[in-house]
Amino acid sequence: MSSFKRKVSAKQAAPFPGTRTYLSSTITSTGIPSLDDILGGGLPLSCSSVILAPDPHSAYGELVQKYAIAQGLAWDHRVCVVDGDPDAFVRGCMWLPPTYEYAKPTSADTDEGDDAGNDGQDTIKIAWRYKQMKQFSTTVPADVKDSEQFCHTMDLTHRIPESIVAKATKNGTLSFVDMNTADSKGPSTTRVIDQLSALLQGTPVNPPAATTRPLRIVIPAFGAFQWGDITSEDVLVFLHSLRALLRHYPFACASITLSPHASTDAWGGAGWIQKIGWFSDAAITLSAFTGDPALSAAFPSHHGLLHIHTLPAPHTLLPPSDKLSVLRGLSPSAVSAGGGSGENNLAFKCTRKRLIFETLHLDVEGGIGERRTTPSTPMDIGTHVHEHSPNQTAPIPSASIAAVSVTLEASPVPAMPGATSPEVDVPSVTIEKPKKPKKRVAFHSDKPDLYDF
Amino acid sequence: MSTATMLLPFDLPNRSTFLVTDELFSPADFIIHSHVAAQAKDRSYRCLIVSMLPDVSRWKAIAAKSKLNIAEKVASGSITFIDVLPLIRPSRGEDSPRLHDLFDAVSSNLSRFNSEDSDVILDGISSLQWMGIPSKDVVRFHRAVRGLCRKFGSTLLIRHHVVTPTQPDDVFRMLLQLCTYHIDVRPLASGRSGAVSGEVTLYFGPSTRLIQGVQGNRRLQYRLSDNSAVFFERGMAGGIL
Repeated sequence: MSSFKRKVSAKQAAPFPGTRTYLSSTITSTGIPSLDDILGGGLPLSCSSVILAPDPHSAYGELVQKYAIAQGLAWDHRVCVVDGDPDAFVRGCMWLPPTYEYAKPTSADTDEGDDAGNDGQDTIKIAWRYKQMKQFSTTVPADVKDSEQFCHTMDLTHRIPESIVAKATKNGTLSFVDMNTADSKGPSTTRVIDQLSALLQGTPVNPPAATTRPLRIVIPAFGAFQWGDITSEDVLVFLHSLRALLRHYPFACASITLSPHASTDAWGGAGWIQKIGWFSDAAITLSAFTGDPALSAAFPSHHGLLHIHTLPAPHTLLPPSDKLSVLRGLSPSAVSAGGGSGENNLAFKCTRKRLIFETLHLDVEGGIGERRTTPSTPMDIGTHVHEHSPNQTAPIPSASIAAVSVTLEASPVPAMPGATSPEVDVPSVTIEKPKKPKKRVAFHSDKPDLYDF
Repeated sequence: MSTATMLLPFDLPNRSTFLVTDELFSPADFIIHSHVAAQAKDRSYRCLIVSMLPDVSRWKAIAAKSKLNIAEKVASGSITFIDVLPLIRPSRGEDSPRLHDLFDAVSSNLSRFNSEDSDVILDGISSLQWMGIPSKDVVRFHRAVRGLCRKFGSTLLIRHHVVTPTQPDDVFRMLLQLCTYHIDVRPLASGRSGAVSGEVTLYFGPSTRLIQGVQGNRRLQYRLSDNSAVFFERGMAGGIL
């Protein structure tokens, strides 16, 4: 018997469009390439992810769920939405631009603001030894390959067509669990688990379970008022039961966003977020800056911070994200390079066309295009009098005062006859730079449709 | 006469009660997996794993790298998984779930083993208190299982998730009194790192008998790989030296 072994790549052929395989795990895309990178390629089937969004003034957690729904429908995956008004929620999802083609960069791939900032930078002459270095980037591009169909690039400026929703609802691709019309007997969490269990049991499974059409369970606001008066114990029992269901039916995955009030330790008690992390495969917090103006001012180019609590590792001890994630910077290549042994700080921003997760860096002090430090206040030396000076009453000899003359090279001013000496005692010269008008956006409460720029 | 067991990274005597505490950033899965993989090579070894979520496919994938066929061991009865959730559902006429059925399942499996080299692993059962089961019942269950293990001469390994490291809960305090050795798995205080995954510290429990060669309060650092962990002294990681 030969001792040679064929070196098999960890990545194998995807069993279903919109999925990929890594270390015997079938992975689906969340719809956000940078979030896929953080999760270690995407959300594996048979796993659950919980998004904690404690800020009540924003809806970034629901936005992540809309991405998951749109991505599932675009790949013809089965999608089940559990919400108070699931139909309206799905109709508010984003969609692909009309001219979209897979594996071709679209306008949503490049942010409009980034393009403007990069103009002319490519032509800057720098030292030749730095030319081989890659351009600094804070996020990862969409990993689109013709051979591996995985993630469609959604555009937030486009809404999902009615025809897509109607067709998906008709052929059973899209199903709903409406919390408002559900039977009111028993706790809502138990009822939802029973309905999801029936849905999973009724799914026809091909002989290898991995080739079954994936099912995405999406819960945009778990714990909201539609769920009734549920306790922290109910939430944990639900998460644990759902996770057990997913392990039993490995063709499904679940993406859950906890409602804002349930996303903090104040609701579930000390260690609440840690408990959620133990009862789910992936748990992250999107801490938006909306409720904290100080953070918005400190990080003007981001809309919130991302905190990672746990990451999926369905078939390994080490989460694949630790090895594969570019944004987190824990990969062996980053460690061997010497500078990447610690985890990067992560943040997110929502541009006009997409939601992006990226590394968080402090701005360059002083800025590149504008002055960040406050300008020094002009000092009026002439009026300054040292009151504590012991010689303040004594006459100051003229020789002891520094003589300062101001002359203009272009047009010297001729001395007027009979005028006093051009020497002035202590001049006060203040040169004001022309200030660029700052861009301001104001919102009139009485005219909600008008913005004042 | 107790013999040495391979509870990595420490060489500790078996037929003891081990308490393994971990946190969300540093799960102690690697200790349990490496312990079972090392012990299961012995044909007479029997193991009962009582888990909140017995993920057999994950066990199979991780053990495959250690040349251990979990499916075969499960089929032969060497390794038995008990799923907690179906056994603690409240029956009709009862308001709260009870742990009697779970204890009966543990007892019947342990009596069936009939082996001198057997382990019972309670994997995160203490988190039942988060799901509404009174902590007093959880404490009684662990104490009863410990009594069973002493009766049958088995090694008991209890895994407890710590969610408030600065404020130990009542269940943790009680488990600490039960154990012979306490293995604490913690993340680095400085945050996640690619070179060091965390720290493992061995403490003696109240019922420890000092044995020559076993050094208490020993702290090691570890780095996880896909299927195992590498241990090293503090400050000896590849990225440091």
